[in-house]
Amino acid sequence: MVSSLQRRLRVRWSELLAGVFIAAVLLPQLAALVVPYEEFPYTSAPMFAHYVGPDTPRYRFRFVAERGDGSAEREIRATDLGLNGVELSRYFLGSIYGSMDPLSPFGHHGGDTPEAFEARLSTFFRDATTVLERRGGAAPGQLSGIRLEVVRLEGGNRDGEVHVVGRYDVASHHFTHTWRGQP
Amino acid sequence: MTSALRALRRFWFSIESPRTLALTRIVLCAYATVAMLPHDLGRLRSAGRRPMEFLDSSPVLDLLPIPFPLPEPMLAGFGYLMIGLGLLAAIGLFTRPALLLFAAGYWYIGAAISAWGYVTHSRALPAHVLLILAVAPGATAWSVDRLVAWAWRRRRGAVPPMREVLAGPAVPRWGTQLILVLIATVMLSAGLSKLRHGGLRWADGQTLGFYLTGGTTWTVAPVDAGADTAVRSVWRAGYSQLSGPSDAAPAAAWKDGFGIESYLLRATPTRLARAIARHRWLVVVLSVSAMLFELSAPVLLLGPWPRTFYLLGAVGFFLGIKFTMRISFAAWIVVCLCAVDWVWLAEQLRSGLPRWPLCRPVARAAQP
Repeated sequence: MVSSLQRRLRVRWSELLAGVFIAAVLLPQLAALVVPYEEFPYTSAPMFAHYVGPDTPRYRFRFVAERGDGSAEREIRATDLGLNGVELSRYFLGSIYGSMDPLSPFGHHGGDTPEAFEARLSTFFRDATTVLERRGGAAPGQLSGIRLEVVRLEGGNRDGEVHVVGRYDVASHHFTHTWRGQP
Repeated sequence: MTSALRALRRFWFSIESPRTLALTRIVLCAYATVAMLPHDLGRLRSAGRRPMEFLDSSPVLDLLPIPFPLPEPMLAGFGYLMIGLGLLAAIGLFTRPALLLFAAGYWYIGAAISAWGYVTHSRALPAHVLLILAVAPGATAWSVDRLVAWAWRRRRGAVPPMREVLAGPAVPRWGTQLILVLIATVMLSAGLSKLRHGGLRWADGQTLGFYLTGGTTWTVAPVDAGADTAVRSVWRAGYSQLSGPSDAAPAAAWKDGFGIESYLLRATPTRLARAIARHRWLVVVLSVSAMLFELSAPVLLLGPWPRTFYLLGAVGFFLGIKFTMRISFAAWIVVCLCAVDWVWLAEQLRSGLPRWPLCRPVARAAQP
């Protein structure tokens, strides 16, 4: 069929090869038009696309380190984990937490379940604990748990309402999703 | 069906002068080597120091046969190699292999610095264009390779005009067309994303106004880090703002009860941006214009005039982003400027200017 079409259109082999190259370069970008995704160098260019109005709720993640010796809790910063704030936020939302939008280019886990969510967060916090200890953010054995919270931001980016998503237990290496079932 | 395929064939494989690809090769490779590489090699070094536990690798990084992270001595060697390849590609010495390796190197750098949730949009189009240049016919025009070939033929007696050899024959135009289609597709994607994620209300100016007034400038700092609540500190320690709908269904918001949809990009507005943001009507006009401009991107494929106007418009669009939100798309500007067919434009202006009433006296005065 290809060769008959080739004869009718008098297409050269060089044009067919060029066509394959064009398709290989272009198709992933055209796919991003239909199913938004971000994978360098392909992008659906979602920058600034989400609507932000006066009533749009804004949030932030908060990771709170709980210490086994009973000393004060401390918020874990992005730099404690060897990343900057933007990277940590985007990595955590996209690759671990997942957007609620099934068409989010920032990372959506299709068919996500509480079990899969707990498994991803268990892996992330196990790694985070390793990194914290390696980078001196916490002495080995000092951490007893890490609490994940989502904080609603008020005017001036002040912290507002807090929802505790769950808690990672360092000893058992397990994240328990505690928000489930709450009103 | 056959006529559609013929039209498609004409679109991709009509013959044209290779000057656009040659100009793009020279300018983009020189720009990438001199202006982009020093910065990007620094980012690659920083990427290699991040905890590998959080590496979010990509198919590009996995497919390229370059280890990541590169050990420190290899990193320096990689940097020198990239600089050498970029210069060779720009001047056109061993053009094809230099372009191919330089493009591979840039895909590697882009994929490596994008492997932590951050996608470097400013490098996406240049990476594509470098790959296209490595393969497309005509990209080796106006190169040292051609000059050497001309000198060789001259030694053997045949003396074709040097200019003719440097420019080379007309070539199928698919390289240039592919660059234009990529620009059109990404710009259209940006417009469709606004429609998909923001809806038509994106044009009401609220979103643009939010960013132009510095809505995401100030970091969301950790509770015990008062000193960190300074501009740009979000890059160091804080967190990006996240957003979601105000009416998320409980079933969709099962993870946290709020319903997180996206993160908000950080933009640091300039004084100009804040001045614009004070005029609500102007922000609405800019929002509507930005959406229409992005959604109309395919017009740049309709012919030389739409192509010229759209590409120059895109340059203005990216300069506007730079001068209001300090986000640089300089490499995109370079690609757009190179994609304008300047020789065609000059010919049009030369032949058309005398017909414009205002220009008639100038044209008459310019006549010998």
